[in-house]
Amino acid sequence: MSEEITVTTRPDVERRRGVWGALRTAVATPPAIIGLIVIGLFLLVSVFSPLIKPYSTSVPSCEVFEPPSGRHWLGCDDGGVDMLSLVLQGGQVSMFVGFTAAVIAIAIGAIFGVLSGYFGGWVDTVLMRITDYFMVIPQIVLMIVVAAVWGPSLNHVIMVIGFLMWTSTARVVRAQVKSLRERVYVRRAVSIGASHTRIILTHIVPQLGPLLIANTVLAITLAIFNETALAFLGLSDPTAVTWGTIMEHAFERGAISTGAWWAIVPAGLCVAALIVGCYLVGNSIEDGLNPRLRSSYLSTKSWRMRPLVGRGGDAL
Amino acid sequence: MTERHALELVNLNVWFDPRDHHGDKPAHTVKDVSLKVAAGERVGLVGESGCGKTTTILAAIGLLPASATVGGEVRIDGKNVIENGEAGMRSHRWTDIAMVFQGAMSAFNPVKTVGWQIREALEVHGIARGRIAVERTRELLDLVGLPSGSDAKYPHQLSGGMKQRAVIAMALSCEPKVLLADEPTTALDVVVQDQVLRLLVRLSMDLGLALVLVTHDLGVVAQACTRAAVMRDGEIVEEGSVDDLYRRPAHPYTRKLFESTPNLDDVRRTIESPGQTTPLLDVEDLRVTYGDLARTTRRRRWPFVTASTKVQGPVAAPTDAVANVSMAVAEGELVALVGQSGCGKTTTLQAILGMQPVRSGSIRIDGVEITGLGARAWRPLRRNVQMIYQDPYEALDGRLRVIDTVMEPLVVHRIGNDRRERRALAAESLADVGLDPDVLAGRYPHELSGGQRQRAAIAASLVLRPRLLLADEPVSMLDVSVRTGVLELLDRLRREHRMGILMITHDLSTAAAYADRIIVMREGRIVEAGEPWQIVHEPADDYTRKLLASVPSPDPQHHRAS
Repeated sequence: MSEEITVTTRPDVERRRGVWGALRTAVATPPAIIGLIVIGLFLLVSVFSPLIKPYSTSVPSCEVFEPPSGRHWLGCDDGGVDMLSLVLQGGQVSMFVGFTAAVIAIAIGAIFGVLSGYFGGWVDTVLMRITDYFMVIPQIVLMIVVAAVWGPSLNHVIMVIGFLMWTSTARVVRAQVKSLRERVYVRRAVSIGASHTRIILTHIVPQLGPLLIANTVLAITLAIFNETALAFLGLSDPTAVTWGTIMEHAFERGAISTGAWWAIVPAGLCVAALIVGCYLVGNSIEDGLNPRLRSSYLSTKSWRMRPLVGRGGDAL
Repeated sequence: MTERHALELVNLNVWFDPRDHHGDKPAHTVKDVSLKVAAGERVGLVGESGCGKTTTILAAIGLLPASATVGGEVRIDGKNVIENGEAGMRSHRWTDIAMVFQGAMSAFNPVKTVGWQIREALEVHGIARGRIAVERTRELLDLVGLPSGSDAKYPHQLSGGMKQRAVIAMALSCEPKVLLADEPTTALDVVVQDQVLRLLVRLSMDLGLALVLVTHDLGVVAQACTRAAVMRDGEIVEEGSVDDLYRRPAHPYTRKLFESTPNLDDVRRTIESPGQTTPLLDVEDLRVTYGDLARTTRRRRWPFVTASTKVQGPVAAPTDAVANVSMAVAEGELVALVGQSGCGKTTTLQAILGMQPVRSGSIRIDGVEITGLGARAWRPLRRNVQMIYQDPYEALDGRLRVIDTVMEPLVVHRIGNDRRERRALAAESLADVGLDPDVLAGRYPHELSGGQRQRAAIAASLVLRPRLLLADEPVSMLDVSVRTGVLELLDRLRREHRMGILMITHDLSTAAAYADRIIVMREGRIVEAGEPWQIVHEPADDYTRKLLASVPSPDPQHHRAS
C-alpha cells in the first residue's frame, strides 16, 4: 500500500498523454508550425492593414493597369487603385468572412452532433434527417437565390456558408459522442445521479475540444474558398473589397486580355497560401488525434539490430 | 542436457525510441534477458503488466515495431536467427518459431473460413498445396481437439475456446520447434482456460515443443509449466522450477507475487456467526429479458410489421438473461457473485443499479422497491447505491483532477454548502481509501498507477456514504501485487462503515478469500449459494465442482493439468 503511494510519475512527460496532449504534440510538428506561421502572418497583416497599406483603396493613385514598379509593388487595377493596398485590405474581409462562417458552422454542427449522439432514438433520427437535407442543398444555387431575393451582401454570404457547412461536423461529432457516452466514466456519472446537462458539459464536451479545433481550422479553409468562389461569381457584396471581388473585378474589366496578370495573381496566391496554411494545421491535428493514420503495421520499416560496441560483457 | 537448446536467448536487450521528445534517451525495456528452453520443456515467463515479458518474446520472433532496437542473440537450435535483422528472421518465423497471440477473438479474418486461414499459412511457406494442404489442415485441427468439419467454419461460428484452439493449430502448421504463447488464456473462462492449458501441455509433450508461456497468473504457470522465470522492470529476477519458486522463493518480489495470489486451499471455516442483521439489498425472483425489449421497441416503430407477425403466431420466445434470481445482502456483508462470462452476473448488477429494465420480480434497497422507478425518482436514491467498475483506466474522466472527480457526486447531490466544505469531505474520503489528499488530489488520472486509480474511483463512490456498494470485477484489471490492497480496502469498508458489498468476480479463489457468502451463477440462474468454506470443500452442485476443478492453483503439487 505504502509502496503504491510513493510511486512518482514524471508530470512533464506524463501530461502529454490524453487528447489535449496529442493536440500539443500535433501542433509541434513541422507542417503544423509552417501552417501556424502562415496563418499568423495573414492575421497580423489583415489586422494592421489600415496602418500598413501604402495607398487608399478607394481613390486612384496611379494609371489603369499600371504594371508593378518600385512605387506600386503589385501594380494597379482597372480603376488605378494600388493592388498591394487592395490585397492587404481584401485579406481582412476575406478572413473575417471565413472565420465567422466557420464558427457558425462548427457551433451548429457541434450542437446537432452532441444532441443527436447523446440522446439517440428519435432525437437522433430527426436531427440527422435535417442534416441529410442540408447536405444536399447546392451552395451556389442557394446563394444565387439569396442574392436575387435579398440582394448580395457580406452577411448573406456568411450565413449561407455557415448554414450549409455544418453538416459534416455534425456527423463527425455525433459519431464521437456516440462512443463517448458508452465510456465507463459517463456511465459512472449516470450512476452517481448526474443530470444530462451536467454529463454533457463536464464529461463529453471537453473531450470534443481538439476534434472541434481541427474541424474549425479545416472549415475556415473551406469557408474562405467558398467566399472567394461566390465573390468571383459576383454573388457577394460588390462594394466590399475581398480577395474574391478583387479577382472578379479584374476578370470582368479585361485584365486577362490586356495581360495584366498582377491584378489577379496576388489575390489568388493569398487565398491559396492561407488555405494551405489552415490545411496543414488542421491535418496535423487530425493525425495527432488519430495516431493510426500515421503508423501502419504494414510499413516497410522494421526493427533493427543495435550495432555492437565492445565485446563480451562490455557489449552494449 | 546438451549445449543445444531449442530456444536460447542470450543477453537480449530491447530499446524503444522515445515517442514524442526527440531528445529523450531510448527506453530500455528488456535488459540482458537470458533464457534457455530445451525441446519438450515448458517455461513460464511471469510478471506484472509493463515488465517487458511480451516485448521479450516479440523480440524472439522478430515482430517488434519499427521503433525498436534489439541487441543480443536469439538462438534456435544453436543458430542465431536475429543476426541479420528482419531479413534473416523471415525464413525462421513460423517454420522454426511460432506464436499464439493474446486475443484469439481477433486473430482470425472474419470473412474467411478457419481452414482457409490455416491453409494460407501452409501455402505461404510452401509446405503443402491443394488436397494435401486440406488434409494437413484437418489433421492439425484434429490435433488440437476440434471436431471434424471445423475447417469449413467461419470464426464467428466457433466459441472463444475453440478459436484459441484454432489459433494454436495455425501456429503449429509449419511444425515449429518453439512455440511462444502470449497470455493464451487471459480472455477465456476458467473452465475453458483449463482445457486450453491441458492442450498446450499435451502438445508440448507429444511433439517435443519448447513452449514459452507468458502470463501474469501464477496459477497458470504452476499448473502448466515445468520452469518459470519471474520478470520485473525488464529483468529476470528469479528463475527456477515452479516447485522451487513456490516453496522456496529466493527473491522478495517472487515471494510477494505468491503471497498476493489467493489460494483455494487457504480457505477456512468462519467461526464467527453473522449477527442479527437487516437485509440491505433484497432481490426476489428477478427476471431480465433482452429479446423482449427489442421487440417492444420495434412494435412502437412499425405497427404494421408486428401486426402481421402477430397473425402468423407468437414471436420466438425471448431468452431470459437472468431468471429466478433471489439474493440478499445484509449490512456489513460482502457477497460474491461468481460465474463464467455470459452467466448474467453483470446484468443482475445493472438491474440493481436501475440501468437495466427488469421484466419481473422485485428489488428492494433498504426497504424501498426500485423496480419500475423513473430516472427522476431514482436520482435521490443513487446516494445509497454506488458502483465500482472493472476498469479503473476507463472509470475516471481523464480531463478532471482526482479531487474534482471525488467532489462531483457531492455537487450533484448538493451536499455541503460551499466548495471548501466539499473539498474537505472529498479529502476525507481520499484519506479513507489510503490516498494522501495533499499529494494526489491535484493530479490527473493518468498520473496515477492502476491501483491508485481504482482507489480514487472507490473514493468517488464512498464520498456519498452509500449503504450498498456494487463492485464489478474490481480487481481483475489490476496487477496481482495491487489486488490485495484493493480487496483489503473493500473488506475494511464493510467492517468499519457497515456497508453491504455485492462483488462480481469470475475468480473463485478471490471470492473464497474475501467474501462472507458466495453465490454461483450459471446461465442466468443461481446454482448454489453458501459460505466460502462450504462452497470450496463441500460443493453441492456439479457445476460448482467443475468450476473449482478448473481454478489453477499456485501450488504446482496441487493438481497438474496433464
